Amino acid sequence: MRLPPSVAGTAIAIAVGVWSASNSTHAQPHTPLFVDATDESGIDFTYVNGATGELLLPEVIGGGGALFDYDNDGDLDVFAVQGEGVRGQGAGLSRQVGSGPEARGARLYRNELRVAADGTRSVRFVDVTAQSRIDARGYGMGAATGDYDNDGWIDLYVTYLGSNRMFRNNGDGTFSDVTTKTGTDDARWSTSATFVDYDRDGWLDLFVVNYVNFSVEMKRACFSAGSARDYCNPVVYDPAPDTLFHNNRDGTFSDVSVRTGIRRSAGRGLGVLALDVNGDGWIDLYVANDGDPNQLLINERGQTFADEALLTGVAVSRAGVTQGSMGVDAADVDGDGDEDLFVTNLDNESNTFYRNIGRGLFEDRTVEVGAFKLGLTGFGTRFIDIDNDGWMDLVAVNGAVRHLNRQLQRGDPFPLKQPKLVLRNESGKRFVDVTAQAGPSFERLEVSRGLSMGDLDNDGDSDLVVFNNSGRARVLLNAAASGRHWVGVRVLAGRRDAVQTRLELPRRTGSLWRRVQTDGSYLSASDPRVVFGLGAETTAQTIRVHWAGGKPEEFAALAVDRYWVLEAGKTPRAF
Amino acid sequence: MVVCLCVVAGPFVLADPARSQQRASVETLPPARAGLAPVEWPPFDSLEPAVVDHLREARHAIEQIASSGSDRDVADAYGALGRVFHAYEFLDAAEACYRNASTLRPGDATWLHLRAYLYQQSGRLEEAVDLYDKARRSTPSDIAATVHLGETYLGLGRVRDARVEFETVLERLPGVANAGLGEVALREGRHREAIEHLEAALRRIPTATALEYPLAMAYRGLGKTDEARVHLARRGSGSARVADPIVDALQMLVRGERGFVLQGRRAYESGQFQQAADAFRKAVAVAPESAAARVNLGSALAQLGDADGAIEQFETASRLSPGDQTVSDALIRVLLHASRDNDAVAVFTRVRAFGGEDEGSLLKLALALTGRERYGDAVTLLDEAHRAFPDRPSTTTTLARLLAASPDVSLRNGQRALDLAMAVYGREPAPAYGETVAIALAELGRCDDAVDWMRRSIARAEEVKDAAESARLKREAPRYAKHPCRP
Repeated sequence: MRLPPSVAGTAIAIAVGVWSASNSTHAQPHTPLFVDATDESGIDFTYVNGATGELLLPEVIGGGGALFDYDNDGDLDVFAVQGEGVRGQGAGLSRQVGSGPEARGARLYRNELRVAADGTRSVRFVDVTAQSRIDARGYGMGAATGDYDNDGWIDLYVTYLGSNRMFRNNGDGTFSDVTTKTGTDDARWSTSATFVDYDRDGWLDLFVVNYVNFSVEMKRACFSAGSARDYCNPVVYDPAPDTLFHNNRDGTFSDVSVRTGIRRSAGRGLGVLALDVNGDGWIDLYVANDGDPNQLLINERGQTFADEALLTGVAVSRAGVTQGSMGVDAADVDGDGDEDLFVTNLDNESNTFYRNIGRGLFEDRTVEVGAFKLGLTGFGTRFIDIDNDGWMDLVAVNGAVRHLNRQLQRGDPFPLKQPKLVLRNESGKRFVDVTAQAGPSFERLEVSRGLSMGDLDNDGDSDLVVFNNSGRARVLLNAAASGRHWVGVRVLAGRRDAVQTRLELPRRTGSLWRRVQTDGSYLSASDPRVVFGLGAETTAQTIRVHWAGGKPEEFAALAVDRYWVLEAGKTPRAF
Repeated sequence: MVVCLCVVAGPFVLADPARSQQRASVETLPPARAGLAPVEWPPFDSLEPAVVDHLREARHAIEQIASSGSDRDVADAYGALGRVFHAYEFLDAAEACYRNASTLRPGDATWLHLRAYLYQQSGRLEEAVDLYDKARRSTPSDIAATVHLGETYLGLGRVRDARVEFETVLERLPGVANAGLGEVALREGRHREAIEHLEAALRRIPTATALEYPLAMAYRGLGKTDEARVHLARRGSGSARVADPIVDALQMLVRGERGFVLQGRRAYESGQFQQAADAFRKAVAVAPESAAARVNLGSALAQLGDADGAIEQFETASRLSPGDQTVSDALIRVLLHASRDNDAVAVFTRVRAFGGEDEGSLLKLALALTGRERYGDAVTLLDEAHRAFPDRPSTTTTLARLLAASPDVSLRNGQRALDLAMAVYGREPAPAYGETVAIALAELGRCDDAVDWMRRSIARAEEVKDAAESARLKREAPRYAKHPCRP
């Protein structure tokens, strides 16, 4: 890895560094797991919440973004969603941090990754918003990515407080706003979204999560226990129902929310994840709700959905208490072949870890796995094998939604700042908080919201982009996996990424299971590629692809430390 | 501006929105004695005056005796100030005060207990264990400390230790102990034992409906899914909490409307409507001009079945905040619920608006309007609700029927009625929705089509074995065979 100049001095340490642990022979107390490369990355982006002192709920909800290879040049580009004034285009901006270029709407940054002859890499992003013709103004929330027209170019869906937008990737570096043409607008307050082929027809449908019915005219005055004005609990607003758009395979979508039963219940939705929870071959939907029970919408053979979150044990805390849930992700944490769930919640609740106990059932095992922690309001979250040892670790980014007394006392104008959280997976048995070893950026107090994960420098480990509210988006390069081996894959179904497909890498000690996904987290989309961390293993690997509704297919002799493209019935090709 | 109906929980206070500069320093209360810690003071600029006065009084008590009082007096004054901070959830300041109190009076279990509770609230569980244990040793009669210790052990995953604590209180607090032991058994995978304990707890504390969830999970663990679903359906928010005189007394300290409203909202949200009403009454007593306090009191009274009391509060709130639709909506809803349709219509006539969130009330109001031949108002009301909630079949159908068959023919719009009716039927092919299509077709003069849709609706009623609906539709069907068939 070639590091940016300001961190180059730590390069030697990074090359050998993994996180320190009490029993680790690699203990390097001052070696960070991630290096903050924001300044050198070329990304200078601040999400503007448009706050004017009225303490409107939308001010504390955004924003997110996406990592996706929009130009098919083999590296990840960055899309950052922008807010504006809640009252309308640009209102209230001049008094806030966003009076600069960010106020022009969302930004697209092209990755101009350079790999030197000696293999060192440098990541540098260039703002190509104007060239891309993406005009995404408005009070933005989040983004979802997916190739809805199966043309091999990843498209972009952006959610708003108000009408959403679908941008079709034209394949020539530009995008077209096809919201009206596709019929994918949702004028509610949308948050997260995911592209999912729920009916297995080969075309990506679109599920949009909505939050509450809000307008400036409906604003409420809310107070802290100490009687001061504060942001409201969302339960003072009615929940807005979610929307499922069916892909008609002709460039248009139909709203099938009612027909499929999605509208039977509504929650104040913020996060979403598409995955096959019960292993029946049909992709289900998990929705993290803020102040309402979370929903697990079980896909009934592509026809209808039924919410089974309560019975399956993923709706509420183990005490039966409804939580303020924001972000979500799933992964096989304990190596038993099924996926466990992690949901981020309010600071007085702790995040929740739901262990999959089989048959599509879960148990809240937050305390048992060491994930119980109060004092952080979690938003974006992803399971990530930080050091490529084969075990899925966990990152959550945080920021309060109500004023923090200590920051308020010191006159902070946006007193919601909190550090991030990194939990190390200790051989599938429990998590250990290693935030202190993750690097200064993780202890820095920020109002973090979106979190995207992906290999920005194509070196076989997972990097992060954190989207902060009223603070700079941060580019955090992985420095913990150096020296560890890996194999990466991009799995295609036709010309598009085979999202939600499960992958198995058999080993003597048990298979590694991963899933192709861009969704999860919070308001954010991530790298569709999958990296298997192999530790010291150097021999060529076999990966079994469990195609949705089809037979597993093995791809053998995959040399390590490189990426491969896997397509049904075809010989793997390196890239 | 909508009146305050809302409070937020948590130890948070607000900065002056206009302030953009960080404070150079934080105001502190200097230590009254050597060896004590200063106490950081919350900013007063945005607090309710009653709260500010309360904090100033408590501070003044310390300053009065700082130089001349005994250690015990100063400790009590710090403790008292800590309790005030704690009541308003300024937890950092409360902790500093309790620490000072304990420094001066290490054996006083009250401050240990309160600091332990504060740590339990904020997730500092190891420290909470240590202090609860000390508090209990100091005052063996502090049974609440034992229960909290058990809860804290559960939070730490120390299940065996939790079991010991809950077993200790089984005779004196059987309901609370059973709840704790049920949770212990559930975590240990002993589902039958969990069921026994949790059902015993629910027998003793029927209001602890939150226990239905772990009970459901225990049944699920035995593979008894149907039983699990029954208990999930009963799940509520009432808890099996221990009465804790030391902690509970904090709530009595709260002054000011906002604090009482907060207390009331918390009680309301946990289904304790009488306690909620009591707290809201206090809020009304200190702030009789507060529309928010009165709306909350009205809501609690409505839940308690006191419709007249609720109406009185909502009417007062409506006078205090005449432009507030939240208030008028609440008033209209409770009037309709009390079958005072004339009064509800009168309020609606005055404010000319009603939010459609509560579909049942909306439809009642629409029917009340049509009953008074105010068809135009009914159409407007339903139309607005339909735009806000386009997926509600009852609202859409009622609107479609009015557009197709309103006695005021100037309001009719057959094509729109047909579009609405078809949309509803497309989503849910119920017999009554098919009949709505027929009514719309009749309005358009398409009598044969209307007859066909009535036949289809009758067949659908028979298909779903709804004999009464089938018979009703058969009685109605001949109307559509006449030409003209316009309703």
